[in-house]
Amino acid sequence: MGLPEELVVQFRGVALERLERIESAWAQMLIALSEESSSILHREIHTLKGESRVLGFTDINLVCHKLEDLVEVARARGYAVDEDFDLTVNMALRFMGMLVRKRVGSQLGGIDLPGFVRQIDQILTEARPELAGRTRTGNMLPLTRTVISTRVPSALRERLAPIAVDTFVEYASAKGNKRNRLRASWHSLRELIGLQRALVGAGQLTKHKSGALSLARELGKQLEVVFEPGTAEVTTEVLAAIDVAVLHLVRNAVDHGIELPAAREAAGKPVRGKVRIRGGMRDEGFVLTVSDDGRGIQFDRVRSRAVELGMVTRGNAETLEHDRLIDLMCQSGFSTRTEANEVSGRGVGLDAVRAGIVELGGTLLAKSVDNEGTTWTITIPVPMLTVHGHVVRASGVPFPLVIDGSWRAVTGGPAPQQVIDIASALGVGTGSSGSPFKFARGNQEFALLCERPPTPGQVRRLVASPPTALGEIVAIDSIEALLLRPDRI
Amino acid sequence: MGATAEELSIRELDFAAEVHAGDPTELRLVGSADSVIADSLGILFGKLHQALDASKARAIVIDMRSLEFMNASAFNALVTWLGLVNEMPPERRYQFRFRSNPDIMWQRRSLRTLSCFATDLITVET
Repeated sequence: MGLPEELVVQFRGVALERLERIESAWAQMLIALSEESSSILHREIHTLKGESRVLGFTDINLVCHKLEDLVEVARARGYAVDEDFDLTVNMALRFMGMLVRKRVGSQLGGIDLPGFVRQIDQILTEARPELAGRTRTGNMLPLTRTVISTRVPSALRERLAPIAVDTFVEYASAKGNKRNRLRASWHSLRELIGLQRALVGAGQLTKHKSGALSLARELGKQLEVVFEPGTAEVTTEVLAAIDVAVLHLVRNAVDHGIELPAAREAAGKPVRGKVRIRGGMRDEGFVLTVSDDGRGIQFDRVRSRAVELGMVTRGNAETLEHDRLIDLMCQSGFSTRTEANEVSGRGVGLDAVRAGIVELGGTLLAKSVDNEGTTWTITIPVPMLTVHGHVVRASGVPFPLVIDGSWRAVTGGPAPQQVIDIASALGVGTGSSGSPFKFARGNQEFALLCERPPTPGQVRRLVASPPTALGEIVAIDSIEALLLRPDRI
Repeated sequence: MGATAEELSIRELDFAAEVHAGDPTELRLVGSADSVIADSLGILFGKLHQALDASKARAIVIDMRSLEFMNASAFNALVTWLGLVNEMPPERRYQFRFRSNPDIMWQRRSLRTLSCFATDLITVET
């Protein structure tokens, strides 16, 4: 028996609206990560999949399932997908749109559903070797790109960034097979040294809350966890450092800080200890605090243990201030436990926390008051992931150019002495034509030969480069562009 | 065809779309089609569709051999055009004959996927 026509019409309308929302959220995620868009994307696809199954639209259900797989791969990569992948997702949406619109009861006609599914499967096979065998969790995977183990350290990344700029310029200016070959090189470099965006928030860190409660139960302690990690767009490196920090600091707080119920009661405290995790973006970067209302750091034990471990002499230990003792606690091999147990004692933890933070230019500080508790504060500078600029097109240059927003576009006035023909400067053509458009910053000014006036816009940084480089590669929507540093030309 | 070839052309810095009247009409796409020209491309395809429908055309040849890349926004314009034809009565539909470059990976993949939308309307020549 067929479905009532009214129900089918209603489903069609709702499904088309869902597809619009999915398309919009997908486009948004490629521009800037947002937990809201990610949530809409996954929720709408999942709901459409469920609705189509219930109403017997097996073809839509199947494509929805494949789309869910595609989005899952994209999510695991922090939505940093290439144009081919983007194209496939868009085609899947259009394909579903076509299936939704086709007449009730009509045959598939020229629609090759199995062929389409095979094409998606092929893309999935190529795109997710690293995810093979992993099953969908259905709810919240980390909103981050997989951290690739072959990524290079930050110092080397800085040295490779100008090479990436050159590779991009060569690729974007090439034709035919040369272009295809160079595109592969550019994409490899971008993968290795590009800024990998990630969203830090409850979705990523909530596992530490349940971990803390579970540990407290094991240790016979009563615990309340206040979890307010904030939400911010960071890089995968920052997220990884925060993840490690929260893991160790929360475990330390539960293991060393929070007392057993009887001890808390004797100290006049509520029997249920409290650990609070708070975070958020500040001017100096992402700041996260992990605090507890436990016994505080037992500095006398730290002193004696440092002496036992040969880190300081007994005489020196007596004179050490709290800051220096905390510093010792963060050194490799330090633990106040004389024997390791399943929870701690191996001296691995705080040193891992600090190493991860310091490598990113951050700091780890602690403040502890006897019998009141300890607060650890992590501050990690977060690279700017988007910048404002002026988008221009110059003849002879086959990619958009962006002038850093610290320069003003100036109209009128005398022409500056320095007029840049960017096609010649980059060696990508025989020279730019067009009109000179003027930019000024402080007492500096220059003009660039452009086809049309510059337009202001926000661009996403793809590969950060040091200020000494000619520029860096950015993205305007999904289009790669060269952000120029005019003073380096 | 009502519209002139000049009216049905796009010339951008790194992209060109040229219509050559004939039997069948031929559309040549050259360069790299990105979001910047996706709107213009959508308008061009709409006008071309009207012209082909009015002239009772049986086919359109789309020469992509020199098309380096087409991003999702631009490709969506193509899918929308195909949708317009697909929704016409069968007797008014015309064929899409793509001329592709087999050395360009994205063309192989995308045209194969596109043909799944309407196997009865699309042929891909290499």
